[in-house]
Parts: sequence; C-alpha cells; structure tokens
Amino acid sequence: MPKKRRSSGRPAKRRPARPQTSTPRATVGDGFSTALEKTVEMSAQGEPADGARAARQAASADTATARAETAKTPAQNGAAKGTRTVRQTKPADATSAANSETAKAPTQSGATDNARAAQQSAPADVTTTHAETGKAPAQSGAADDTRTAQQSASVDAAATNAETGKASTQNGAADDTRAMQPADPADAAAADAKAPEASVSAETARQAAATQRENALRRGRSRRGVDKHHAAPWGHALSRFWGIPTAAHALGLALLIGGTVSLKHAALLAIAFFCTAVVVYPVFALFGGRLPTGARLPALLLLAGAVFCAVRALAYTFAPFESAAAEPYLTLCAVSAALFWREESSVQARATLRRPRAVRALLCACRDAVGLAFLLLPLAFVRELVGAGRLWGVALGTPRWSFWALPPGGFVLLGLGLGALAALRARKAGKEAHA
Amino acid sequence: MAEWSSLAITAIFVQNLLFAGGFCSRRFFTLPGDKRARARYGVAVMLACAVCAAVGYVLRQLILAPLGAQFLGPFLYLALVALFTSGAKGLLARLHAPKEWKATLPAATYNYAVPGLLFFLLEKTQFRFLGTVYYALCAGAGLLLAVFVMDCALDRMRHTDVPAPLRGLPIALVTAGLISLAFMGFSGIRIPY
Repeated sequence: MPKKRRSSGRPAKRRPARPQTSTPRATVGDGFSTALEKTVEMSAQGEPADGARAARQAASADTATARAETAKTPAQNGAAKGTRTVRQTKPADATSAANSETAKAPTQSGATDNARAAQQSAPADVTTTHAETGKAPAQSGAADDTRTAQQSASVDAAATNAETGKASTQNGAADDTRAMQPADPADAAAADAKAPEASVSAETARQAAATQRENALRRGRSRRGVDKHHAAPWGHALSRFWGIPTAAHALGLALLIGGTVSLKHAALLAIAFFCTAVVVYPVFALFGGRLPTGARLPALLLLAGAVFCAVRALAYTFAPFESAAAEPYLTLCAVSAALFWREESSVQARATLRRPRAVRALLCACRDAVGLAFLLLPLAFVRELVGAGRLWGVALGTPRWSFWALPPGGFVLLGLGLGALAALRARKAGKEAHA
Repeated sequence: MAEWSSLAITAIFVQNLLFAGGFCSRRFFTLPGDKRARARYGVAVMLACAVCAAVGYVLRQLILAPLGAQFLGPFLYLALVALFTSGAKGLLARLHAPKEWKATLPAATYNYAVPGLLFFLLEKTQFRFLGTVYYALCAGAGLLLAVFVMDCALDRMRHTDVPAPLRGLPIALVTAGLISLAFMGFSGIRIPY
C-alpha cells in the first residue's frame, strides 16, 4: 500500500537525518541510472536555477529504485517559505514499495508560507520511489522559490537515486547546488549486479538528456518551459538579455519594425517605453491582484493608456517633430507596456508561483526597457545608416539602399539579428557544455 | 465604386497591417495549426477593428473634438479596446457562444493591430464615418489574409532544412519580410476613377 504523506506546516517533527557514510559520491554509470545522471549533469553544467527548479527524471525499470531527495536545511535569517508536498501515485505490484518523504527543516526566524507541490508518478512494476524534497538555508533573502520534482520511473534493472538539493540563497540571488548523497549499500550492491544493463540504459538516457537540453536551449526555455532568466531577480541587463520578452517571445515587434527608421525615433520610443513601464509595472503589481480576474486586462490597458498620455505630452513638449513623426508607434508604447507586463507577470508567476511585487516589478520594467533599447537602437543605427545614408539626422553621403529603410528591410534585419543572437547563444552554451 | 475598390486594395494589400505597418505580435507567427482557429482569430480582429473604429470615430467627433482634447486620443482608443473586449465577452457569455470564441477574443484584441489601426485611422486620415468603418473592415480582412499567408509559408518552412540559429522566429521574420516585399508591389497600382 503506497504511503501518501503530505507535508503540513508544522516544523521539525521529522525523522533523524540519514547517517552520512564515507562512501564516495555516486558517479554516473555505477549502477545508478538516468535520474541520478540527469541531476549530475545539471549540477555539472551549473544551470542557473534561481527561480523554480524542476528536476524531471524519467527512468524505465523492472526492478528499479527511484529516489529523489532534496534536503531541507534551516534558514538562517530569512524565511524558509514553502512547504513541499510530495504526491506519489504508484500503480505497482506487491513487490513495489513507494516511499515518499517530505522533509522539512526547522526554520530559525521564518515561517512557512507557500505550499509547493511535487508530483511523482512511478508507473513501474517493481519500483521503489523515494523522494525527498528539501530546502537549504537562505541567509538574508527569502528562499521562496519553488522546486518541483517530478519523477516517472519505468526503468529496466536500475536503481535510480536522485537527490535534489537547494543551496543557500544569499541576498536574493538563488544559486542551486545539487548535492549527491551517498546511497544505501544495499541499493548500491543491487545496482552493481545490474551494472552492464544499467550502463547501456544510462548511455541512452544521457543522449536523450543532451538532446532535450539542446532543444530547450534552442527554444530559449528551460526544462519546465519557463525562461530561466525570467525567474531571476535583477541582474546585469546584458546577461539577462535572453529572458527579455522582445527577444524571447517576439513582443514589441511593431516598435521594432516601424519605430527603427531612425535613431531619434528609436531613442524616443525607448525612453517613452521606459517611462510608461516604470509606472505601469509597479502600480499594477501593487493593485492588480485586488481586481477581479476578468477586469485585470482592461484595467491594465487603461492604466497604460493613462500613463502614456502624460508621457506623450512630455514627448511632444521636448521633441515635437520626432514625436509627430514617430506616431502611431509612439502610442503603441502603452500597448507594449501592458503586453510586456502581462507576459512578465505570468512568466514570473509560473516560475516562482507568486506574482512579482512592486520592487521586483520595477526591476523588471527597467530590464525590459533596457532590453528593448538594446534591440531598438542597433536596428535603428543600421537601418538609418544603410537605408537612408544618415546618422542621427546628419547626412553622411554613404550609399543608400532604401530596402533597409522600408518595413521589409526591418523584418529581414530583425530576423537576421535574432538569428545571430541565437547562434551566439548556442555557441556559448556549447562552450559551457564542453567545459 | 472604383473609389471603394481602391480603398479596399489599399487597406488589404498596400497598407497591410502586418506587412506594411508591422502591427503584429507573436500570435501572427505562433497561431495554432487549426485553420478554423486561424479564421476565428482573423474574424475576431476584423470585428474588433470595425466596431472600435466606428465607436472611436463617434466619440472623437462628439467628445474630444468639441473639447479640444485630442491629446487624450490614445487613452480613448485603449479604453475602447478594453471596453470592446469586456463587452464582447459578456455578450458571448450571454449568447452561450462556443468556448473557443471566448478564448480567442482577448488574444485577438490585445495586440498592436487594433490600437495601431485606430490611431492611424482616427488621427492620420480624414475619412468620414462610412469610410472609416469600411477601411477598418478591409484592414481586418488584410490581417486575416496575412495570417493565412504566413501560416502557409511557415508550414512549408517546417519541412525544409533551416539552419539551426534561424529556426523559429528568425526565419519567420525573414519570411514575413519577403512577403512584405511582395505586397509592396501593389503600391504601384492605380485604379482610374
């Protein structure tokens, strides 16, 4: 009869910690299969896992032991928010034993807030799934992120032992470390007996994991389908560039196609978007949650429109000619702010299971504005220089190819630019993987 | 008659919202593969354009122009879009419309096409009421055409060997640029009237 335990909010009523043996750390191929290897690979690659981290492990087995552990350790100064719930569904035989644990550590000064769910399903015959989910210390930040561990094990003769650990979160920047814990000697012995078969399946699984990772990188998304950098707090704008909605999800295309005819227009649009977003994002982060669900989008659009009217008046005051020339794309800055915020909030909510607060929303606004400017200004530079033979309105006498100043040129240039960025990104990822 | 035809050709081909103005979002590149869904999306955009243009024209002539408050135009257009979506959703709920329409409507309305078209029509042109509504309908039809054209192009693209960095959005944008170039050929047509 499979046990089903659900973690409650009570602290520290738990079994004593498993004794740590001096067994060397588990390595890939020594009887442990896919889930373990995936965890090892992920930790070796140092994937930025600052928001939600999902460890999905898939292994197929006849007599398999799938174990996922995540150790939860006390939070030092912050609040260890998050109660992990592990659900396990196990249609197994009498020989199967499913054991899921949720270990929760005592928190020093924090209280548990959120409930996080980790679902595991093990559709195997003889499978032992052991999942532990835990959380590690958060020193001055709030370790409020989500970890979802999903396992589906249906392996041939393999013992899967995966431990997912959450490491210290300092100053809001969450870095993950995945620690490998030594396995039980009995499990290791059983796994060693099946080593040849397990190594074959491990090789296959490793290749599958590499393909999956490559596809995920190509799509610009992490394993969970969430952009990795969306879950991150404010960081360097360039390093977070990939999570910016314009580059990742083709938001703001109208501005990029129509608003990049000249550098002045692009700068004006970037400033207008920044001024609008800096107000819209935090205000809606503060008050948007109080609105009924059906009224949020209209309210967001109205708020963006109202803020933009003030921004537009300022733009016409300081740069009347450029503002008149940049219409109607200037107006679309309000729509962009609304659409970007919608995207940001939904992605952040998916990544961290909570809506971004005001400060985080403000930082997101800055990041989005900087990211949009990074796309707008180079595009406008190239299009004005090549298409019109001018730069910032000054004629340079260079040859003109009008194609680049027209909308088709904007489409093609933007597509080629995004392709070049994707190539650079793939190259960087390849170097990291190689290292 | 020729005047209306010229207006239709201008709205559908020459000033196509997607290919000439870039009033688009990712929806135009990532619509679901169902042809009905695409048609539903295009029709929803067309209706939104026509209704918002009609109401916006009336409100602009009756409220903004007499008060001299044209600078509030963007706010009015965005408010119109929001009101249209809310009203249409309520109406669809009351009429027990299919679920797909309720899901399509916000996506079709909250994009650059409808507010951009509203601003272009009401601020940059001197059409009268009928001309405004007709142009908005034709512009919506042009968007519907663009959605189908892009879908056919991207459908063919799926079976070709595209270089890895260009897969996805980059090649879709390059394709849109080439189709846009083809649509620019219509700008030289003059219909005598």
